[in-house]
Amino acid sequence: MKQHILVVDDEKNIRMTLTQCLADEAYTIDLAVNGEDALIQLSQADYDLILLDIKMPGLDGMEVLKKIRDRGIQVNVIMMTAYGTVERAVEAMKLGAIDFISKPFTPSEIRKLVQSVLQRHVLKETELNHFEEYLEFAKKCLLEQHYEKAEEILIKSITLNVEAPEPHNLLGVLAEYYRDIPRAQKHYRAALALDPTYRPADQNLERTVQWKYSQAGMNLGDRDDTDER
Amino acid sequence: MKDKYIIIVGCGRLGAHVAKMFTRSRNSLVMIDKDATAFSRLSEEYSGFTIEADAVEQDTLLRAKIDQADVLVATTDDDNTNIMIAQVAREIHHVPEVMLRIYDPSRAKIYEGTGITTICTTLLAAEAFSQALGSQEGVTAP
Amino acid sequence: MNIFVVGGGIRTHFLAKSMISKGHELTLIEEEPEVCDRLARNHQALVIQGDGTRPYLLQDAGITRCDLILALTSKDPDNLVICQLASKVYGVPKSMALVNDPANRIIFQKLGVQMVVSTVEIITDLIEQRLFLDDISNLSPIEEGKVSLMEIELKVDDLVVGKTIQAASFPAQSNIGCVLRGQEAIIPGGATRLEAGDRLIIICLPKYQSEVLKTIRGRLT
Repeated sequence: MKQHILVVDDEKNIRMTLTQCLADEAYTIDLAVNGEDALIQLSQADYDLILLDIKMPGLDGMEVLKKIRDRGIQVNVIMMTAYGTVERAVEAMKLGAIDFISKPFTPSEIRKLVQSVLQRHVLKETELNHFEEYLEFAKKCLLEQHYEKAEEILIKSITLNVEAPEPHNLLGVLAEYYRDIPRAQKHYRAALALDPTYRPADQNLERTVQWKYSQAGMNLGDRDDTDER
Repeated sequence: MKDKYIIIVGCGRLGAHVAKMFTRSRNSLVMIDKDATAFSRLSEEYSGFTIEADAVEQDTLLRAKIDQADVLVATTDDDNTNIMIAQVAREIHHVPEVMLRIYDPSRAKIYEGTGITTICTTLLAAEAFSQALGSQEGVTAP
Repeated sequence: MNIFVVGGGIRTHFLAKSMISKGHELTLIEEEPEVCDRLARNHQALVIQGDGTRPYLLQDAGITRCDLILALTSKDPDNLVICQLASKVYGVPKSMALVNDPANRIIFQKLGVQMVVSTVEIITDLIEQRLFLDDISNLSPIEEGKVSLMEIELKVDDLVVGKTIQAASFPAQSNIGCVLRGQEAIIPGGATRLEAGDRLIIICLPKYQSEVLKTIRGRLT
């Protein structure tokens, strides 16, 4: 059965390149030119995955994501970022999106990511074998808001691959979710120590350094008490 | 040529045309130019990414994910820029296929032996003229 | 030495003055006619107007006799091409290029340019080092800024006053090369006791400068 994918990006050349990259796999692809268009399409069909550009005129990607969740639509989301845009990883995580890909990306990069996102739901804790599966399962836990389990699995995954920056980055995101900024930064730095070119950790670290987190009135609920610098 | 990750530097007439031809087969293209208005030369069917930045800056190439590139084509209007970018792609980032356009063929000696493919517009045009002349007069080339 | 200077603009004028007075033979290549005019009028040097990145021009200028070429144009690619033509094609033994993008410094070196000067790096290093006040002076840069040499005068309330050098626990990446006390110059050992008014000559890696200052002062300013 073909998986149904919605590509949301205001740039035509991006929509076309994604259509090409994902063409002969087991996917059918629909295109949306902006946030409003995406919401209309979502009301008319069911999708397995949305590729969502963050920087768009009108409704930006995060706003679209929020609206999708407000409507109770559970679909998988991959956020697409352009160079220099800060990944609002924690915000996205609270809205059930944990996968980011930065433009430009190679065909194999996007295909691999789409595949792992779509196959994530079948993973069972008892059947995890290698590092990748542990990492994916941890992401699944984060998306399902099983944060303690996610942390446990992430720590386990590190023992299977000590070189990988990704688990550390995700532990950082989790720490940030719990408002433990120093610990979050420690994790982001650990990720960067393993791979100085790992952009997500670099951006996350930069973001936590720039934003002022206000101590007063913090809660772990929906509203973020962060001021952007 | 399918599914290759191709970076083109310089969206002049040549660069835009090369992009058009590469788009036909299924490739993933990244077009880099210092000036975003140059992207208007890209055809309607262009499918790929665009980056407005100076490719002489190392950061730009990293941002374009040059270490994952299968092909790099340097088609700016400046020979020296093309020569530098091609060498960086080949010698530093080990891009498997690197091609550049130059006007002045005598500069090609710099990177001789590095496996960079040179497209010298001056020489190609001269050859084309010579062939055209030969066929017009009904004379076959020796 | 036979030295070629390509594209330095006004800098070439001052470089030429200095080098000719030291007895070197100069060839100056500039694109702008007015600059060439000025250079030709002011210096005993071969001045050529044109694009120094063209092989035929370098050849005509006699590059095969060149011992050292300085590529000082404002464009990194041009400087690279000049140096590479000189060394790879014409066998010039020494080449130096200016770069604007500091990241290009290591790239140029990998591509065969021997000396690369990144003016932006030098300036930012100086600014960072000069964050502190006038009782600290930076002495001449050594090895393209790889080593920091500074002189600092100890004040009465500095943390290390009264301590021996060993007890003062300077960072391992630093070395107190000399202590100037009044008219005396002391080459210190671990047991040398530091006094207010001592001027310490300290060698360290640039990135440890602030640690050294913290050790002396307890803070950075």
